[in-house]
Amino acid sequence: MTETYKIDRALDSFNYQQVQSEILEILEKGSDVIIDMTTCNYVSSTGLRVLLYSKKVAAAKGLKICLTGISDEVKDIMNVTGFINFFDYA
Amino acid sequence: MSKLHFQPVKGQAREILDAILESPELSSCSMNTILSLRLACEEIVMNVTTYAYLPEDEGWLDVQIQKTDRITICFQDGGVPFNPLEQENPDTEMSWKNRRIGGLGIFILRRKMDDVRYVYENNRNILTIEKYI
Repeated sequence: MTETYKIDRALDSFNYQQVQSEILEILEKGSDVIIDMTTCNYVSSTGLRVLLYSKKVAAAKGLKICLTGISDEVKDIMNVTGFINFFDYA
Repeated sequence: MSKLHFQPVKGQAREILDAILESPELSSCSMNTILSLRLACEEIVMNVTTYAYLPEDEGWLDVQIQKTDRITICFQDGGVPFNPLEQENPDTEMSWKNRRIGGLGIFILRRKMDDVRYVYENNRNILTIEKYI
């Protein structure tokens, strides 16, 4: 089972709690998650933390987290921090 | 030049960050410059509003923004001394299994800015960031 979760505009200090809990809810159901970031052009360090934590939780459950629609801006910050290699891309 | 004063700072991170981004100096920059400055300012504002002051202190933050051939933003607060430049950089080559959650904010700030300076003077943290435009 795979569910798509869409992040709109930004993933930052102001929405990370909501995004984190919604991704965890999907993982709790035993579903892989595709995180659709087509309309998200800003991810801060707090946002990266959500992505890494989700990946770790998914892996512990034998599930997959995959990213799609990464913008150049988000790709840049993931390159700078080495996060680009942590994920599979759809 | 914009001079912004915020008091209290607790729970005001969004308002403070928006006020900085909406300053005429920043809002007239290119999208890429704004995104870099937003990353830097989010880190600094979150640190000040979350950690700088004791729970019983309402706290304050002064932000001075200048635009020349670069954007220079100077943050001053009266909170506990904190030199972000003393933070250790994360190992960006490490695998996701070993990477710890967090510790990236200051690293991103330093990578995205052309200069970051810190001094503690007159009981104030004075943090200046610069981005060439």
